[in-house]
Amino acid sequence: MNALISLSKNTFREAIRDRILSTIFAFGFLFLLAAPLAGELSAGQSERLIMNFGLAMIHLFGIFITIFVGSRLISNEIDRKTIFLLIPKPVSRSVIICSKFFGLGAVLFCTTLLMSLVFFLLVHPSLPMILIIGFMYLSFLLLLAILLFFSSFMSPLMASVSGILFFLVGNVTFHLKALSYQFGSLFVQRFADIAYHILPNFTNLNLKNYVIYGIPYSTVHLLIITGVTILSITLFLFFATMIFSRKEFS
Amino acid sequence: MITISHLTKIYPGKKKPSLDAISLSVKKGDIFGFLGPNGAGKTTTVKILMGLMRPTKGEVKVLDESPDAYSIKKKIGFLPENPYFYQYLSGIEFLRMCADIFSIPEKKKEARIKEVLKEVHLQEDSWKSKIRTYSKGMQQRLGIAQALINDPELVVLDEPMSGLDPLGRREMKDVILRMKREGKTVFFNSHILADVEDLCSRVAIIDFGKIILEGDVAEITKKKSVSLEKIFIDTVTKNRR
Repeated sequence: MNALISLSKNTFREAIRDRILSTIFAFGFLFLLAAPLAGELSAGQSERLIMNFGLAMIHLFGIFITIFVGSRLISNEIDRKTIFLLIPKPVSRSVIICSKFFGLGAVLFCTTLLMSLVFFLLVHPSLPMILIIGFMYLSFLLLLAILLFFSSFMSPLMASVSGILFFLVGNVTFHLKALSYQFGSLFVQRFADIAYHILPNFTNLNLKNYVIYGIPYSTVHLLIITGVTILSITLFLFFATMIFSRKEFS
Repeated sequence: MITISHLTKIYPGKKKPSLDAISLSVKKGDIFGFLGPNGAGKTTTVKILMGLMRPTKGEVKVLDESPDAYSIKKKIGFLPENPYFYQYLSGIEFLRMCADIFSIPEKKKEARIKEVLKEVHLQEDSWKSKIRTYSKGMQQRLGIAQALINDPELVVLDEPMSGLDPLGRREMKDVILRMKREGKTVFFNSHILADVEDLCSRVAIIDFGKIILEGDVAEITKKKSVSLEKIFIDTVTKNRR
């Protein structure tokens, strides 16, 4: 436990000193502050536009931070050869992977919180808004676990590309399934079914549509989504550990 | 402490083995020098001993366990060749992280960190400086400090004299001699044969992945009445003919 906390703190310190993180975060902040300008452009819908724009910026820049920082966490450790000092110490490889997850997870929590605080200066805070942002944060964690899985055996570039593809596909499987039932053959329907059930579902974590269009959601529904996401994260970290445990460092 | 039996390592995509069925053993209390020209297989052997790489064939036991065994890692200290650190940490922050990994109790942690930093003669005014500002010699001293933080039974050092000036080498030799007095086991690679002759009780010479000489330093040098450096050069030259 000591090792996990210590290495997670180290990942946190490493990530907050990463210039890519500060650049993305600075741009995110600027875009968020520009939300009232976007509101000015609309006719009578300014509050809704500021809300949509602000939430989209928190989501977009959170995804950027996850991809650009998360995909390099493992490779940095290997390329900079700091892994040579860790592996011979009493720290399991699963702890190394989990420390990357918790360390960047904490950074993402801080960046999301800071951006949310600015957002709530522009928009009146409400429970649905907080829920939307909370589930956005869960989607960052899920994407981070996917990136750690890919970067356990891929280069940072390939891991980023694979992570982005998973994220994009995970955002459309629900719609693909619906479309396949309307227009597709049986084979396409089965394929869409399998993709919907196997691939991580990011659509479920996007509560914006529920709130904006007033679609009702229940606490049980949200708890199920949270449970499934935590299970998916655990599985991705488990497979990342399995692959990382077989890795040799020459 | 260390038993290597018929260890073979073939890197993926290569036909020629980097290590070709080598066998050797290191007993408790030995100061063991592992010598060889560049590319002979020394670092590959050390990496397998430390669980960084796996053998293609053969068996390796460290403290009677597999190098991957969690139980032995608390008793081992390791200095890699040209150690790399988290550059944004200070020397003392890095050692705190290492102490946490070894679960050194909070009460003893700070005292132990200061003890090892003093032992490796890292100047006190640099303890809180970022590692990126350290010279190569200072980084080497920090590397040795992290290898000693857990008061290990077995210390494996890959080129411990690298980057150290003559004074630093003297101090490093003193650290190894102190470990010898305390009955610890030290396995190290070095190109500086005069130091190896001064420090080691036993040596092995490896060339092209094969052990070409192994034995007691005093016996080898006494039998041939020449320095270890001369024996090393003659043995390697003969092997390459």
